[in-house]
Amino acid sequence: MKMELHDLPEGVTRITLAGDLDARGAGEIDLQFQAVAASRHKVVVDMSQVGFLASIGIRTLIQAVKANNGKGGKLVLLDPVEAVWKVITTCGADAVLPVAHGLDAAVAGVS
Amino acid sequence: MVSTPLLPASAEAAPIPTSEIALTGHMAAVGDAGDWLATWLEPREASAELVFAMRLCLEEALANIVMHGGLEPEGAIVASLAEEAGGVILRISDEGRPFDPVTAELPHDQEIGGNGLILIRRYASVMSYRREGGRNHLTLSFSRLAETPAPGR
Repeated sequence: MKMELHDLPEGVTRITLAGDLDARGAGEIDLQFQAVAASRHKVVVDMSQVGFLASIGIRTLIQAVKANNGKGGKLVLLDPVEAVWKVITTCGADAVLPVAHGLDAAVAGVS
Repeated sequence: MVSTPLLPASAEAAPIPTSEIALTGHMAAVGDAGDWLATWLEPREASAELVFAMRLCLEEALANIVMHGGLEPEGAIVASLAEEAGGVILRISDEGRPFDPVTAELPHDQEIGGNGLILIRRYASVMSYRREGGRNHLTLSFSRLAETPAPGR
């Protein structure tokens, strides 16, 4: 699993995840992902290149939201693919994972 | 590449390909099992939905066993794949404490395993469980078209 950071205008951090957010993938990025989510105020997590999501990945995302929100920040998931979104909604995790479609909407969501 | 039909035209026309893997009780085994499944499915004409559903259920079932089954680290988990009439069968057995994922109540705290059960129940077409010989035996069936999540489940 790959993870890249990009600084956008207005202090927004875009975290791009690419690969599979399963047990193996979550283990590869979890420490760095949680650290960034907790240390940046406005975070957009680009999910458009994540092709697979398992419950351990949902846990990773929820923990990141909680860590971010706990420090007064905002974190939004950007453009999850349909199959990944179906996993999120099947678990009811859409209630705690903010999602935006399109970068403009995502940036507005954390601003 | 020659692709193998997921189902033979006639159940009597071809032997039923199966594959089996022995896994340890470490989380790394979950990833190894995913590789094994991908290798088995790769030459078959499986839909993206079927591949996704099988991979998800395999990962969730194994993660539950490894994290909550009380296995010794080297405790034996055995998984097998087979083509059978109407679809694909994934069987998983383990030496962990008795646990029936078919009837188990979902934990109140969704972060300790509840989501895995929800996903298995939703993405497998049919699931069954039995405790036999001191082992849990979970059987998950997937229809060829992988019409999952099944409506109303």
